[in-house]
Amino acid sequence: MSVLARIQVEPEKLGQTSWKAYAARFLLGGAITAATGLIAHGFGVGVGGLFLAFPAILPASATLVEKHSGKRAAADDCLGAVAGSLGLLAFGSVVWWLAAQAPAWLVLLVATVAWAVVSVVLWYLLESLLTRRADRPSSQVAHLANSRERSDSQQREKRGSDDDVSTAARGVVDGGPAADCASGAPGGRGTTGTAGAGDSTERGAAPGAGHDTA
Amino acid sequence: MVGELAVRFLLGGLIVSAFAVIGEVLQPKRFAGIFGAAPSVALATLGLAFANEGGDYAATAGRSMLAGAAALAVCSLLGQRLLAGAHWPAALVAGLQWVVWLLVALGLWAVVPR
Repeated sequence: MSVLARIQVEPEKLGQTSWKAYAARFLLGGAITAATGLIAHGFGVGVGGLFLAFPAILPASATLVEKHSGKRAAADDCLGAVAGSLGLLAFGSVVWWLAAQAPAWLVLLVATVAWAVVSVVLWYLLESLLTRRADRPSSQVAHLANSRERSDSQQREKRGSDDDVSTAARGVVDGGPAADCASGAPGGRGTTGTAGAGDSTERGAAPGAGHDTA
Repeated sequence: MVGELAVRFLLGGLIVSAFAVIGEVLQPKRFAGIFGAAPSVALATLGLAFANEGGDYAATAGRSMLAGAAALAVCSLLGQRLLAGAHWPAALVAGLQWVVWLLVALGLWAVVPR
């Protein structure tokens, strides 16, 4: 399955969250934003600016995800937040670069698009890397199975050609037409090896599909 | 001042809640996690900063935000390690993430020349 095809929207998840959890997020988000204003007022915009990237959602969402889907899913949530954080570096850079020379709506729009693009691209790269890593052991199993099939096939071919050579030799000695058949015999046996390789590839791919615990 | 704080509170609460809801309905969680680091506080604060203080003020805030974002990446990675590797409870990890974020952000802000 393609990495992007894994993205799904599940609106029914909203019903699993209590109104208290929504209220807590609203209060936390409001309090942090108000506190950021007070900090900037008291300590200057330099310190206040740090709090623009305060973890307002992540800790609460990780706690909620652990409750509904388990610890592994909460860990995955945090890993996704690493991509989002690096996207925030793009957001901050755009604001720093554009804020003094462009209207507010344009700065915030470009910065938000930059955050989204950088975050999703980094997530895509991370997801592809993790998928490849998860598939690697099964690929090695498939490779070993293929090598074994090839080796068996070669041994059968070798045995077959030895038989053919001796038959041909007998034919030459006898002066009969057996030498003409020398190249035909092993061909049919090789087909078995190809089918076997296909089987082992399928076996190898199966464990990789289950890697996504989210 | 009280009126401005109330506006900040409402705006921040709404934007943080909106991003949290988006993250909640998305699967897989590794993708949904992106919204755990959404620019929610930044959008609410910078919108008001532009209106009240002007572009230069917002640009300085954006520059400081870089240290905060780097700190957020550190504490997100730490959270992933503690939850997946050490199996810490998420509530404890959440508390630790806030402390680590504060230390790393203030540390970066102190050492980066301004």
